[in-house]
Amino acid sequence: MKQLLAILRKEVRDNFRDKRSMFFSLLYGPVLMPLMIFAPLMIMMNRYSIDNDRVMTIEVSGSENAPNLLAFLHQNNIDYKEAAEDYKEKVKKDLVDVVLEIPSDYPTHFRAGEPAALYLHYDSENSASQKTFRQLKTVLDKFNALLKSERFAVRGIDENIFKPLDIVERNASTVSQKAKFTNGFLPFLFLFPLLMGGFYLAIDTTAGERERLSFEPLLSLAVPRSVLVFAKWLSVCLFVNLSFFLTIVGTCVAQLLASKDFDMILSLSFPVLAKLVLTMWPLTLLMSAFLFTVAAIARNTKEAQSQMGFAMMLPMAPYFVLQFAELKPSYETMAIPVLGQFQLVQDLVAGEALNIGYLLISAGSAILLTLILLVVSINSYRKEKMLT
Amino acid sequence: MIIVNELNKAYPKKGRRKEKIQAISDVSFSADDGNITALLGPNGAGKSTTLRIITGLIHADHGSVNIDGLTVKTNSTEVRRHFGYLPHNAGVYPRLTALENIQYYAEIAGLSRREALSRSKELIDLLEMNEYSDRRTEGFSQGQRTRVALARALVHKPKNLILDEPTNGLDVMATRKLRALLKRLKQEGHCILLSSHIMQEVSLLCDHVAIISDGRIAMADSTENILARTGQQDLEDAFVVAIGEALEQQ
Repeated sequence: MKQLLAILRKEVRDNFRDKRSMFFSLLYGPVLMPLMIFAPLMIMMNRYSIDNDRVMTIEVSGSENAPNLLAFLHQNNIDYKEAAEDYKEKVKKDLVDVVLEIPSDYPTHFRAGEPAALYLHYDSENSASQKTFRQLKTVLDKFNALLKSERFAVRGIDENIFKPLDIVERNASTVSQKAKFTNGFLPFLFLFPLLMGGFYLAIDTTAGERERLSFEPLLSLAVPRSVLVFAKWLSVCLFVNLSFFLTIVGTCVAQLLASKDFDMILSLSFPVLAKLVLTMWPLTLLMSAFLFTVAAIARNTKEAQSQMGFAMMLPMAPYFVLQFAELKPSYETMAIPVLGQFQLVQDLVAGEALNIGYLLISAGSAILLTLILLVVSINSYRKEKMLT
Repeated sequence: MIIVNELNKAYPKKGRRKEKIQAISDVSFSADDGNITALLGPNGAGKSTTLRIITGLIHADHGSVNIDGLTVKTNSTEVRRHFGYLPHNAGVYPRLTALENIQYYAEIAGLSRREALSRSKELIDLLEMNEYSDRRTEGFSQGQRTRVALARALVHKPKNLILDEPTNGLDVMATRKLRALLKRLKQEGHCILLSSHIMQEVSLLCDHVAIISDGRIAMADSTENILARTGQQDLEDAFVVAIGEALEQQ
């Protein structure tokens, strides 16, 4: 126990002094990676979602031709100002987002009950222009529908005659669109920090020791190889956990601070988050053992890094399986580490209750595989190859 | 006391794993307490392989090693408490200070944190490392690194000391200090086994020499006896005769 603590203490101290390793455990996994996933999503959301409460101003050409229409727009948070003469040119150059052109024959056609043309000038390549266009179009469609029902009413016609079917959609799926969207990247969000948190320490603690030639004197000490492996694995585990919990804290902070745009991407209540931690935590043990075992086989850091690059695809495999195959959670899938955890997380995000039986099997299989990997590592530590 | 008995070791050839290279054959010698024994041989003679087998880092295909009455192969963990090992390259941790490097080994050896600190400081005084003991070993000279590694090897006060080319990279003054230290340890009754290819060092320091060449022990005896048996005046000529080469005409 004394030896184990001494090795653990040294590895932690050594790793804290390694700036590159710290960057990957504390910054890259828990902060930069989620930021790289969330920031573009938030920007996209912001760009394409319409907020009808937002007051916007458009430019109008021929405003004198349709005062009622403009009053309706104003009621619906769209103000206007007069468009310049060369508005078509300005829209093309992205100087103006949208111009509503009301032709001079608009009142004549309107009064005659004929289709009165309105022209919307916008640039579909410009996202701001497109967003304003879509908001304006929504309001204009509303105005159109209002006029239609008024005209039917004036002529004594029930407008329901034109609606022979009333189609009501009732989706049996309990998974909301938002949850589907969230499920798409949640595995990356929580699995990646686990891999990144232990990546460099796992390499440094075995392949790094071999490269620095500090392994030979260490192995000549009176310490059983199993203690050596266990202590080094624990140190990797510690940093993987640090990275994991930082990601959880980061998610909480982001939820508290960010706008409702973030809410559209991910909103996890505290009980859901707690269950998610419970589900994913066994993977911190497994991923540490996985990284450690892969690094223990490599002869030097360079080899370890390239092996690790390929090896990291393995824990990601269940994610791709879930993307392409419709796999329902079962005791069999729970027995496959990582796959089981992913399925449980997806169900949690979809608002379903946590199945304790599933949770126990998924945790058990992850712990069992961890033990197997540790035995494999102890065996490689016993081989002479470790010194060559 | 170290007794080495008929060690054999072959490595698989790189690229052609079915073929083997015989690294050492029938290596036998002993190193007594209160003596400095040298394993003397040219580069590639099998010195490091022999020392690695003695320390239990690799296993012999045949033969045995006995340290203080314990067989290395069957008591691998226990026997390690009986020796301190300085490998060919110091292998110190660059992000730890000299003191932390020594303390780390002391704690693994089972000393409490307080004992480990005081023992490490004792060794820092003994090996005159006070000037740089609180500096990280990154950027240390070879001599400074060797001293840190030597302190680590001595930290658990082992009865036997196994040193693989200990003066490697040391300057004249550092070499002299190391020699003085090893002589002192010898007087205290320690068994010291070192490998070297430097004749002068061996003749100045060692009581007993095992000459190894092409993986075989050519001669193992006290320094005086080796000179007498080969009929030479200095160890270098004796070495050449012992490994079966003809002496050049002076």
